[in-house]
Amino acid sequence: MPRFHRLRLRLRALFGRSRLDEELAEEMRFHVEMEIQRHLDAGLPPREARRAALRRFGGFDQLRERSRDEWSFVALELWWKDLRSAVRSLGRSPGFTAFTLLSLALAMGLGATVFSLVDPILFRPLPLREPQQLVTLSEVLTEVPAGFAKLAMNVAYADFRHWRERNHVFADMAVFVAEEVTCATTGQTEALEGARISAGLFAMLGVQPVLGRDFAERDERAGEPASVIIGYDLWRRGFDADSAIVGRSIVVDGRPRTVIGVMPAGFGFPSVAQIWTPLVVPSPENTHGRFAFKCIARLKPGVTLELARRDLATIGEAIAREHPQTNAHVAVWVQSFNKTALGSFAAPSRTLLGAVGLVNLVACLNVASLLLARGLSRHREFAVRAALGAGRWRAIRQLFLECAVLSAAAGILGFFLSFAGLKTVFLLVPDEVSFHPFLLQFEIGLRVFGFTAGMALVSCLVAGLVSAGQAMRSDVLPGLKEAGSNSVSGRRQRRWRGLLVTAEAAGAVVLLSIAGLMVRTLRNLERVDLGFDARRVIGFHVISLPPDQYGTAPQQARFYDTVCAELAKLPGVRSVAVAAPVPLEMLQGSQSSNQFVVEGQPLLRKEEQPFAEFATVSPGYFGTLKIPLVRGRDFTAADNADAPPVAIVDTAFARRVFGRTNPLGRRVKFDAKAADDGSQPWREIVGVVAEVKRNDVMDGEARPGFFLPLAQCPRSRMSVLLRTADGDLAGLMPQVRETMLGIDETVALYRPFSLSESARRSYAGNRIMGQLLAVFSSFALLLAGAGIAGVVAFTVAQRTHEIGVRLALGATSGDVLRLIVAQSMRPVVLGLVVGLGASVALSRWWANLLYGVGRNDPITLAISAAVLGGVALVASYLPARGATRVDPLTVLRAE
Amino acid sequence: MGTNSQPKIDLLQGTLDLLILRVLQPGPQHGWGIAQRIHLLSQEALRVEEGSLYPALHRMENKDWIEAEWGPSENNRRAKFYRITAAGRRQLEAEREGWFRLTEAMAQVLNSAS
Repeated sequence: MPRFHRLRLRLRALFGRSRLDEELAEEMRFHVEMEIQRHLDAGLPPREARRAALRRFGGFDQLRERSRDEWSFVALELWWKDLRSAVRSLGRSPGFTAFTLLSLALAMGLGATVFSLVDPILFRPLPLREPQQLVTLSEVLTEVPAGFAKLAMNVAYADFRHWRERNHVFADMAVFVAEEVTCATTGQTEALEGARISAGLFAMLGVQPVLGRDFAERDERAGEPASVIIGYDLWRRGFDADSAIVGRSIVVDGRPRTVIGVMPAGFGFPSVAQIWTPLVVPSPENTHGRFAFKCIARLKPGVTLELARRDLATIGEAIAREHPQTNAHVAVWVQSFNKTALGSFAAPSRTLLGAVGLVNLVACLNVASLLLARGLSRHREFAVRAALGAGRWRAIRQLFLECAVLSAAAGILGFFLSFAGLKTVFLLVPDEVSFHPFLLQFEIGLRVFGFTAGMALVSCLVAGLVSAGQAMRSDVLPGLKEAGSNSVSGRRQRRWRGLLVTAEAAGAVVLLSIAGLMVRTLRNLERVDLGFDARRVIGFHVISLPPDQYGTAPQQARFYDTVCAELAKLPGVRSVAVAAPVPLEMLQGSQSSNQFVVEGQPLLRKEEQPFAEFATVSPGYFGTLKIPLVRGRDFTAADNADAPPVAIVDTAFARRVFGRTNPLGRRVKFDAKAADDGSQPWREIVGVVAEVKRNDVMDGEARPGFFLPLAQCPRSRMSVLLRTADGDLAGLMPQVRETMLGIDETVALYRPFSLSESARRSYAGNRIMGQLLAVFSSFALLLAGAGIAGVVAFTVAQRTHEIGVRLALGATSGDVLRLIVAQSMRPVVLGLVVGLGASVALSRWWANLLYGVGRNDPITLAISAAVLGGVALVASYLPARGATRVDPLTVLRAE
Repeated sequence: MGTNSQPKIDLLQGTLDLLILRVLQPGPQHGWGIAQRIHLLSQEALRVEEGSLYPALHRMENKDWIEAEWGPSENNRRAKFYRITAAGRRQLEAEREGWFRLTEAMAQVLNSAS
């Protein structure tokens, strides 16, 4: 009841002011009447009684004011009043307001955009059941032959089975392997990204089919009818959302399979895969040493990563004892799934977030310094207010409210800007770059709004504290005397402003140097010598050939001969070649490292044999990619299945294996599992070619590679390359498709590509980073310039009198100009030093994102500093020049 | 400022609230009545300024120690009557105790021999 009573009182206070006043007046009237009555009773004449009563009472208005102050709504009302006056005061300087509002809104818009990008990577849990319990397992060779990098591999199926049987730490385990497949959908055969998965993978991830059922163990048995699960998008697009799809038979990779389920909308795993077949491994015992699968497991509740690592290490040792041939030097790595799935995004995300934070800081400081400068011109206003009895707190509150109004408006604007920001970022990303559309769902929602609100709050506090701190120091008297620059407080204020300029310059320099390093990285990446000429080369993949017509190697070789011959007839096509794999355009699982033996060299134990990267290529491949032939000859049509087995090696191979001796004529034996049965013949090396970048532009030293002729070693998935006159992928593909349909209409073309685009795509992430950081740093540069110019302009305005005196005493305008510019540049130079120091101190954060440039590259740092210094010089020169044009007489007369 | 020439006692900050609560303890009273009661109960030593009384009343109303209601006065005029609330009674108890402790301590200091 009392609480309700008070609420009623306040509501009445807010909305029924006049009624409250009336009640107060009536209460007073009653009091006066009673007083008069008392005086009358005491025997005073009526006139006297009335006068006595009223005199004692004092002014009614004063009483009413004091009484009103007791009602708490007064405080509220003051806030409201101050808020309105803050808005009015901002409205009085529209230029200042527009600039600060816009710059803050842009900074916050950038911040919100970046946050929406990094939130699912850094902060939001993955959209899986208890994702923190999921781990990734991989195997690693502990003893690698000299010159070969130790690297995490996939997992052998046999090892997976051992782990599953013997471990004490996992609630669930599953393996999968991504692979492209062809699928006959409504009206066409298309090539798609898919995966072979073990039963229980979806359940472990916590995703269930929306139609039908998940794979069960019986689907993995060899004799069972072949089954398939398809994704929601494929179901909608390829099968017209047929509600009776479950139980229907569809053709996958040329064989019929029964659809048993449809996964929910938006789900793809891994990455964008939309079609899943069960993993059928007929004789798991034979898979030791074949590291082919990705493995995910779910930790039992309460089990730590460390515990899991120890358990797996023990099991690994046991397996190594049982199978020393294949597992003697194999260790198991256990890492959190989150880290392996998104780990590569984490460092760039953190760098972006940090950079955008810096942009916001610079924007805040910029607003603070402009508010400060503006505050100086309002110094008199505040001094007069203080003299008239306005509390200092009230003045500070007013400044704070102005910041709050600016920040809130900027936050709202920035939030809406981030919608456009996110769209723009997506435009920068090439379509083919898969960003785990299921795991990473970028959206602008409550979390982004909350983040933006947080930024607004911080900016309000920073800008508000700085300007309030200023107001707190301002004294009433000097303010009234308008003796700004020579008083102690004037000097203090100048130091205070200098500090802001220093901080702004430092932040901008850090951003400029990161951006500079990124730009240089991009330029280096664009100039990387790939070892071949990717320009104007286009191509496509053939995932599988229908098994009925192309069951044997000669049949496949003949097919590709026809393809090369027919495509070469197209106008604008210079040459055609077929290869697998193609550099920069690797298909899932098409990369294969193989061990090899050299005739005449001591035989090593199996696990000590070196590895080399293997590729199957058609004659003319090296010519098409313009890979220089260093020695010997290219493959020819004569190198067919009946001819003596031959091979070509690259210079890395020749260097590592043969040193200075001539490799031509030497014979090697490759354990090329991917080729056929693995019992390979001795092959004579007939040529040596230059080494190339295989995976991406940033590849380090090339691993040794060797090439086999297509006719002697065809593979199921091949890529067709066309060197063209103009490299116009979109223009040529229709004719290419038509030609391919003419050769065989059941063969699906997968993912057409332009090789130079593939090269660019392999550093798409660096490019996006570079572009974003370039935007950030230019923005920060602009803000810093504006901030410095604003501060100098106000300083100059304050010192007009002093400048006038100096001019009158004989100083030239050049002297004055030099004086002002030198004084304004002092905090900038300090900022440059601090910023460069900070860049060097923090540079290990972005060291991994760089290529071909040191993280503390002195040239980049020097350029960043010079750019900012130049901008600052211009920003202080312009207002300073204006100051020297004052007429000393006018100024002195104004005294 | 008073019409009579009695020695004036300045009220300590906060003591007015205590007096008002004490005066309201027996029953509701209007503002003038409160001032009169304090005047009388203090044997005319204390006179409450209207300028202090009404703001104090409104402050106390805001703190929920008292509540107000309009009603007819003894001479049948409309008057605002203040009534002590449960919270007000608790406040009175607490303050009364505090006051006695204070005055006792003050007396001890002021009456000490040296």
